[in-house]
Amino acid sequence: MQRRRFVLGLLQAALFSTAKVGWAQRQPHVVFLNPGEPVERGTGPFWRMVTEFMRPAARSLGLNLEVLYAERDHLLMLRQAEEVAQRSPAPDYVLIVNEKLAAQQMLKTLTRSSAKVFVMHNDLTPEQRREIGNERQQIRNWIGTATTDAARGAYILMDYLYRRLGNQEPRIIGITGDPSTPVSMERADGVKEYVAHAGRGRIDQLAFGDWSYADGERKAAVLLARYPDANIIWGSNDSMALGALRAVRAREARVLVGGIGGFWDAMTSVAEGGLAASSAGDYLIGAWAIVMLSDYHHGVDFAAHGGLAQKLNYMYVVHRGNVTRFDDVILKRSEALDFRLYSKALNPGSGPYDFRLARLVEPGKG
Amino acid sequence: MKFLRRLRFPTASLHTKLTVALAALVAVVAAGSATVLVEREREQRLHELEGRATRIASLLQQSLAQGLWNVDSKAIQRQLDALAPDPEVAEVTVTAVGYGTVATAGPRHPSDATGAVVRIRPIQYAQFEGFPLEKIGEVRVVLTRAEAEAAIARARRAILAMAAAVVLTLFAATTLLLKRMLQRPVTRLEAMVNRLAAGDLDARCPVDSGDELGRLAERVNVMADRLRGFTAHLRESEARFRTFVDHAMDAFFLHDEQLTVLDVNRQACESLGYSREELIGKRPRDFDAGLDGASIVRLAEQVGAGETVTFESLHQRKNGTVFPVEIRSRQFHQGGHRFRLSLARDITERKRAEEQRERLRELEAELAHINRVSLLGELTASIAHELGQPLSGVVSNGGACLRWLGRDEPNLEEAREAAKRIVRDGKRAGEVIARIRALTRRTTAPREKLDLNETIRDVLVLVGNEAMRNSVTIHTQYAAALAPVAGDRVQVQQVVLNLVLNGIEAMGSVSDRARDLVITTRNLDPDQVQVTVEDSGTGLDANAMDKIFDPFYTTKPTGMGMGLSISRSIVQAHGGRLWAEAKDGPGTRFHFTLPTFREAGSHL
Repeated sequence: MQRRRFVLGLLQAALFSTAKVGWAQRQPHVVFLNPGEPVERGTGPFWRMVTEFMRPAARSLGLNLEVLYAERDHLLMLRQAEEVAQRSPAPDYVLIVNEKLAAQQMLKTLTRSSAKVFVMHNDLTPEQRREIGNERQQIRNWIGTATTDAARGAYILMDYLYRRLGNQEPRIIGITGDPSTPVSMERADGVKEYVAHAGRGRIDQLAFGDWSYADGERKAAVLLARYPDANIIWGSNDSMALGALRAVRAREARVLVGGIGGFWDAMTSVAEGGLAASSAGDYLIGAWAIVMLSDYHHGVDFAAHGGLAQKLNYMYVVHRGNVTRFDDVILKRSEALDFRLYSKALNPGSGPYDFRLARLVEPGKG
Repeated sequence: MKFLRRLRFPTASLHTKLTVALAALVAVVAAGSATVLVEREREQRLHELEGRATRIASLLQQSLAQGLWNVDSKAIQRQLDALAPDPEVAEVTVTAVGYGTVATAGPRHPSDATGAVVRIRPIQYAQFEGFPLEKIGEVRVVLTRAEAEAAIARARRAILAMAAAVVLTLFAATTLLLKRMLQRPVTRLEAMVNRLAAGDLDARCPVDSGDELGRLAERVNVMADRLRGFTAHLRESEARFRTFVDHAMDAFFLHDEQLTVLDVNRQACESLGYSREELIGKRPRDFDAGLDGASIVRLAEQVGAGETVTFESLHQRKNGTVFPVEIRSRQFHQGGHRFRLSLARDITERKRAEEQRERLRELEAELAHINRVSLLGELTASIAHELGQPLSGVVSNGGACLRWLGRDEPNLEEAREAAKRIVRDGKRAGEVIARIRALTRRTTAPREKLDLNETIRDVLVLVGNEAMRNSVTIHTQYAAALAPVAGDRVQVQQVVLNLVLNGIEAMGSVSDRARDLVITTRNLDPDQVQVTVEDSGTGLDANAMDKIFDPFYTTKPTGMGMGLSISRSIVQAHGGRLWAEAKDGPGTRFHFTLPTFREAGSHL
């Protein structure tokens, strides 16, 4: 089975490379309005990593990627959207993020452009959708949405932490992001869902943080004092988790700390026995969007493979047992990653996209 | 009040006193009010501060609950930092349970000693609606009192400045008003009273208001009117009294305590020949020639002791002649001073009258003596008989004695008896002679206590033989307990002798009836004793009854006509009465009374 797939893959690659020559004259132009910062300024590496994985994806799939950083300033982001909307010729695709609920405005702005708009990472809220409708409805050039199944990421992290805890009664402190960011709540929901599924353990408190290391540490310190019996802290991102870890260590508490994100420093910490685990991979959302747009561009509409708005389940729990491999395969060789593996156009088949990282990390399992 | 009473300005004007008192009062009231206001301000501000602390703490307690629950340190810090600029906020700290300080702002430790207002409130949170509140931390609010104290100090300065301004304004206004309303009228009044005091009784004060000072001015004017009236009246009265005094017959001398003459009347000036001005300032020794220094001092002491002293002295005129005076001197007090008033009466005439009376008395005594001698002359036969009997007795008893002794056997016993009789008769003769001598005594004797019965008996011894020769029987009716009288024994015997001899003589021509002479004594009343000599002679006609006591009136061919006249003088000199009374039948009754004897100290 694997072998046949592999051969098929090679065949597709050969076909693709031929096509590549044909496309070369006119590579589709993708503009990504990145809400983050191009260099580290204290808000974490997430959006830079997203870009980092999008580049090999775009390259391997023959897309021309342009990234505009809004530097966490949604007003700047709106101005950038305005600028992109006025471009002529218009780009083929514009990738936007519903950062600080700015997507609604950006979508409206971009209706003036002929570019197709794809929303990723943060979906529009139900309210927003009520106002502007769904993909390919009132806003016709909004062709699709891809988000990470954040709840799932938290769910699998919790599953791992429960197993690590063994027979102890889990007492959980959660530090999620700001409540206005949908992913914050989704991850918390995932934790709740798991606790309910497991039928044991208790969530002492869910706190809302600002995604920063310092906030994670501060909150963990106070919450550990408030709940001396807590034995699990999860952070809605690695930075907060690492901050919480520092508080745990300062308190010399026997508490498992898990994060979500799988960034380099988190990997280092996991490898060193600091963080118990990190639910990794969501920085690949941009890469998956590129894959879906590429397929779309080549006539394979993702709508037929999971819908116009897709929640992608691809998170991967990195722990001491697999951290080295994950690091080696994903992080250290990001430039070399071949995302054609996930393309429906190159790998025709029915059913939804399977973006599981295990296919890259543990190819044998895939 | 004690303080105010003690705070006196004896020389300050009424205006100043009132102003100062009012200023002090206003200052006290203002200070009191200011203190109360400042205290209220202080309490209010401190109360407000505590209220603010409580409010802030309560507010934070509520507003921080969500943030602390979620450990939003930055949000908490922002809230706290928002309070930090408030200078009152010394410290706001939020702590989490079991953790410690989550956020703190403005830890400014109050530097003053007034301390701080601290409020600590628990921060509670219910994770889900309906869950019990759970304490998750505390908020500690520390507000410094320094700001409130500074504000209080500013308020105090403002209030004190205001109070000082009020005091000054009131002081100035009061000073002006008092000056206008009080000082001017009082000054006018004072000037008017000063003129009055200086003797200008026509001084009047203008009245230009109806207030108390105006009424006072009116009253003072009325008072001045009355003073003028009284003064005029007093001057008239003084002139009147001066006239009385000047026209008095006595010389008036008014002395001070040192006896210096302060004033005299006209009589004093005239009697001494000095002018009033010359006499004022003199001392008694300057015009009194009758008293030596020691007497003056003694009299002055007596007068000083409160006695009214009457004494006689001699006053010397300016020309050196002297005249006797009787001086009555006493002291009196007036206006806290002691004065003495001496009234000197010229007693030259009285002295002369006294001398004449004395000469008359001597003449009367001489006459009485002559009367007594002449009476004795009338009694010669009787006296010779009285003496003859004892002398005969002496002779016969002497002979008998010799005989008893001349016997062969001398009878000594009989001789001794005869000798005893001789002695007895000798004594008897001696007594007769003594009585006669007494009656012829020329000098008067002091009055003594006399038993009138005995006195009459003595007289009757002398006249017994004379009565017998005239066939007159003398009856005596002596009162049993006759009160003694005071008198000169010789003079009283002279009166009785005159009356008895007159009676015997009056019955010389009576042949048709018994010649009885009745002598009766009786106590007339507790104060006088009466003696009655009653004869049964021819009696006296009414015409003679009037004249018998006149000198030189006599119905007898051999009489001198002085007996009854002298007798009446003697009785009257004794304070008694002598009178005659016609009897119903023949004869005349003579009565005389004498006052009863009083023990020493009695009035005579």
